[in-house]
Amino acid sequence: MGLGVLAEESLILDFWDVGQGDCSVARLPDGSLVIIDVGPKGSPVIDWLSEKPQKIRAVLITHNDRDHAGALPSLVKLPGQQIETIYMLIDRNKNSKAFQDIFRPVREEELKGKYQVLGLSSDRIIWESDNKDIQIKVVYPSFTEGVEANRPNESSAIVCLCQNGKERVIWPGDAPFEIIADKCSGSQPFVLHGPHHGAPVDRHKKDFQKWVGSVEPERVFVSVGTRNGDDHPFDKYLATQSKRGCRVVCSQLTRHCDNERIHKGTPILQTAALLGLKPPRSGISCRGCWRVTLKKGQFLGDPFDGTHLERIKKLRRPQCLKTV
Amino acid sequence: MQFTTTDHKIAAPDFFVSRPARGRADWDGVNATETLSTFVFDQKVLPMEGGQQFLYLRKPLQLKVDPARLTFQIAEWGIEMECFKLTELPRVVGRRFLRLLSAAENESLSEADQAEWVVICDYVDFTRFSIERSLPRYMEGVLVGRDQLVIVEWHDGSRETLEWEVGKALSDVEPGERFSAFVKLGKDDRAMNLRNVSLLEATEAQDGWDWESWPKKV
Repeated sequence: MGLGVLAEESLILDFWDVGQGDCSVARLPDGSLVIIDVGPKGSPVIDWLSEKPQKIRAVLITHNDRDHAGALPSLVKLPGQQIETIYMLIDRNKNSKAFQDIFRPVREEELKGKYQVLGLSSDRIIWESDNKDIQIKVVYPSFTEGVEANRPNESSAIVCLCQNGKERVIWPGDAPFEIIADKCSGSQPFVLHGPHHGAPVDRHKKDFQKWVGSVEPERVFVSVGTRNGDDHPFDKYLATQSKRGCRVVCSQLTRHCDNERIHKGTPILQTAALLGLKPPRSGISCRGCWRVTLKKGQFLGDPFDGTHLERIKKLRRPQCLKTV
Repeated sequence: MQFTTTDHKIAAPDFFVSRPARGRADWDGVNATETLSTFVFDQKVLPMEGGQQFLYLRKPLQLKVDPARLTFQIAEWGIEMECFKLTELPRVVGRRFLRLLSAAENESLSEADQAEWVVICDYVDFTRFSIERSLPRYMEGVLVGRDQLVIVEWHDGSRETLEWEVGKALSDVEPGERFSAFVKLGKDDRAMNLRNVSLLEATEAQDGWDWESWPKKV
């Protein structure tokens, strides 16, 4: 089945392995893209788009940290790349050098009329299907909710893919679980992305387990880099999700799972190659990239789940299989 | 024919003399046919695109020879070749890899191809292959210094000390100046090559920009 045929009948979500950072690409039925976070400076999604420029309907930046937005200058300056709108969270001191260094090229290209840049707030429907049963929309923050994030990872927008009004895929960026629980309570998403590279920022708070319990994902995709200075992911969070029957996968292997394998540099599964995508330049892939297809109302994972599961059972301490 | 060594001459081995391979294998308890027909192809760097690109193998290829037909199969790669075409092996392997990669990119892998592709990918260092193949990307930075080391602060705030060969592309940039360049990134996002370097306006020149009211909320 060729790309064109697939594009006509389904919606494809690629959860990219970008090392330590986040990036997901939704391929809409008309073939255009919605990119949710672009990943860090060396994001492989730029390599992919350099080779195959595509129509980008929207780029959403859940928050303005470099592991989510670092590749924006490279993206907006890509020759031949069409972008309609960039949505970004209005969350912090915009006079800071760190903010301006990343967003100056974005603003320059906006002034040239290449696209428009808009604030990300929950009144936004980014895309909806013809019969309006599938939507990609922002659920947090609302227009009036001021998001103060004076330190990195302090807050984030929450983006959802909804099917018949129910949240089926949640991209919370680095949002605290308390807010996810508040906005998506009672939901049973097919995928919960992260949050915060598998180490929710409020993981040490008293009510954390209660908040986690209020959302029941079938799958959790943790986008984490082998070499991250923050000791991500949080093993107890992964165990909590696994214990509830949720299938947890991490994009890259971390020292918690098998330090020896990391030293050998052998990936578990090179899914970037298997799915025809591009690999990150750092880290050792575990699940690597992951593809979900929404076809005829059903969410389907890619065919490499079984192989991955078989292989991670041979790791010394696979955190995603622990249930206690 | 004689082979000459440094200190004395020896006769060339007679390749037609039958060797006691079967017997020796029998002593070791090894099936002789199998021992003689499986070889390891030690070359792990295979040139592609006329030597502009390489395919790096994580483990050596196993060749299974069929002495009766004078052919060999490359285990797990779905390739069969005639023995006398051994020198073409890197090209044939490269072509097989490229064909499957292209099918994966176009989402046109059959189920059988997919199963084979999983196994083949285990042989290949796909990250290294992709890094070599990647195009340079636009990046901005500030040249921090180049007295003894060329140090750059990139737009994401990360600092990098460039190899001299890489950093010499910034010879027209003064320390403290902003620049843009198309950067080829290597392993761990390290700059391998800079080209099309441009000098950017100092940030003060954009002081008229009102950042607080950007972007528009509605």
